[in-house]
Amino acid sequence: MKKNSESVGNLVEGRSELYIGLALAVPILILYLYAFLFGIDIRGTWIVGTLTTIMVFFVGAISLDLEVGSMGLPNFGKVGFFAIGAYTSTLLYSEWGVPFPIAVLLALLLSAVVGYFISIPTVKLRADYFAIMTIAGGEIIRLMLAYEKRWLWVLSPAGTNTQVITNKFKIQFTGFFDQVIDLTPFNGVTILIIRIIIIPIELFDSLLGSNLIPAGWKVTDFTWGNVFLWEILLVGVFLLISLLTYWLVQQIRKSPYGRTIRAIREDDITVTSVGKDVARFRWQITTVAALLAGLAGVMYATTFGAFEAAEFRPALTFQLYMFIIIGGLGNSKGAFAGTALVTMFLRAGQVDAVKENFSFYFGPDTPLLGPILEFLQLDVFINPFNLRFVILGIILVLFLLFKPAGLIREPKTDNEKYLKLLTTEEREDSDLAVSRRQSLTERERIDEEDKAPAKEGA
Amino acid sequence: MTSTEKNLSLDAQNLHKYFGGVRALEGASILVTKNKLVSLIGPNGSGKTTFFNVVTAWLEKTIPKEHEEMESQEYSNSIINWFSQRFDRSPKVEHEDVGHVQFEDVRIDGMNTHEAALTGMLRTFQTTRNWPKLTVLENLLVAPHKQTGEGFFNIFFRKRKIREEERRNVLKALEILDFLEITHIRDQLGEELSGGQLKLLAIGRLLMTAPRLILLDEPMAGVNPTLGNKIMDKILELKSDSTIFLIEHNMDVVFNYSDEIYVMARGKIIAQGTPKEIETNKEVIEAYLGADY
Repeated sequence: MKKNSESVGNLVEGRSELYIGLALAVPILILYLYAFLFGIDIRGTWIVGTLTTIMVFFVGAISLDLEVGSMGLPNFGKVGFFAIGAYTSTLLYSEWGVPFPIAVLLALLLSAVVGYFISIPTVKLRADYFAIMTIAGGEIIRLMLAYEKRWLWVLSPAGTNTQVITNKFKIQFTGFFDQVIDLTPFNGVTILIIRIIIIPIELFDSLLGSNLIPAGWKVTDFTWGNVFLWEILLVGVFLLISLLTYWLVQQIRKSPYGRTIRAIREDDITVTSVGKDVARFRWQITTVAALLAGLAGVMYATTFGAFEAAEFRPALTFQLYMFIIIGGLGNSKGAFAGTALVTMFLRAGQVDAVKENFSFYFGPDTPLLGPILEFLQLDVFINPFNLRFVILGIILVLFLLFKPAGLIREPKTDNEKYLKLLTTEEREDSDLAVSRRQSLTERERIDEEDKAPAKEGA
Repeated sequence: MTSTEKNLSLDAQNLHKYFGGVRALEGASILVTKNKLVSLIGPNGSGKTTFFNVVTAWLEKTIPKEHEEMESQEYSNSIINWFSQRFDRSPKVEHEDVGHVQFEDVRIDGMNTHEAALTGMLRTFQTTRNWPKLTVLENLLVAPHKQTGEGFFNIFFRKRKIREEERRNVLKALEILDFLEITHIRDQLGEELSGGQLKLLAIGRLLMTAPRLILLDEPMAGVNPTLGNKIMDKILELKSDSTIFLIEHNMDVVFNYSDEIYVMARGKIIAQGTPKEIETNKEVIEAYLGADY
């Protein structure tokens, strides 16, 4: 009876999770596909660009999720470690001539060390004060980078001192692997697929008289365009780094160490009462997360080529929060899902075709609202680009209200992995004892316990 | 060292704890002998839980004003002295009057809370605490001291040892579940348990660490009498391996099962003795029911 209702509950839960996931993913995928088909000429490069961005932010999101999701420490200064990673690796290589691998290692080391020193005074704070302290720490790092002209500003080609840092490694890397890879051989197959995909849109257009498919667009014009060898290599390297990070975090989460940090998230007082140094676990995780955020910073600098301190505002941290809250706290797959969907939405919104065709215009000519807008002298354009943060904000609020676990829930722990360690016999014994006692009612359990000592005596 | 001292489990002498103007403890002293069940009773607000907190290093004892000057004179102001004092691991020489807590031969006061727990003296809480999103089995597996799998680098380099240790701990946890007769909730999450089951789980968590002294803060509060008796039976079975120090309001239980009873009122121990002696003690009746009774 109980088992039945439980499994039905799981099914319903699973269904609703799927529906919510689809309700979010399908519109974003349609938007992305639309941009891909009708708004982009060099499609190969565009896809590669999306992939690299997703992987950069995935490493950042997973490092934040390790702290927030697994450990329960709301770090709002993550962006500071992004900045340290980006600045250290880039300045050391571009300005000081340190070999790139060593520059990266030093960047990671510095991030970890700064993470450690920030953690010492903060890990004993309550969660809300920890959040305040870290947001202040992140801002301190950004302001130092913005105003320390002697060391952290560079000479621009024009000869003036500028705070825009150019990553020379990226320039050399792209220069060295500048072979063009022709993707046209794939055109034929892709066109075939597109013909099928496009049918419902054509139907929609002909029924409603809309023009979602721009006039003059022909399927046969489709081409993948070219990509450079360096783009493919970059994606490959980033994929390797992402997988490695994922593996590392999974190792931590699945170990007894991960079990203890989850226990700390639930109730640190009980963890202390069984003799564990909560502060040690906290500074270790904060340091590892800082190192991973530094790595994401290095990837950020390498992807975007040039950057300045103003990019590392708290908004970037909040963006990472958006990824992991929408995706689901406490699990790496969720961090990936959130990062991928939100990044695809943002990328699609930047394409002109999307901006123009998915837009609504409200101005003096609009019925009903017209006079008010005319009085206010307003022309309002609503499209996925203008409203990107409004849309994401609404999604975020809806998730927090109705689906706080996110798209992919933190996997429910079960005892399977522990019971696997036992021999088959031991395991069967235990399972038998469990099911035997489960089948009793509470009354029978107590009765049996009263009887049990008498039996032994006899 | 005399034979009585060897048999001593907990020796807490002359403990003070002030919260601003509130004097929760005013020189409370207790001696707990090994393998005995000792109870601490007293009216609400008499300082029992504060006493537990000070004994288990959750709270730092207060050094009363009249002794403070003596303390600061002992350590003069020079920086070298300050350092030598900080890094000096040998037991501190303190004036006897400021009180001390000693568990077997370890000085507890001045330790960190988690270090105190590592000595083998563990406690439960008045309001049951657990880890709601962990299964019952996991709740037990977190507890053992000094697990290899809790070192950060061991996760990657000592997998085999971790597996062996985990196996041993799982077997032990199953044994404890069997002992507490809560095997049927093995796979449930902490948040799904009832109050009584949580109390048993809290005891099980302590047993995972093989404690030599167990401090139980109201283990039967809010539990129905049948289950309460069951919990008490289990506690009595533990007496062969460990010493038990109990705070409880259920007088039937206290007077039936205790070897020795301490009565606390207004931060002081006002009486001590066997259940029979306490039953007839006039001061105790006064403390509980008022002088005019």
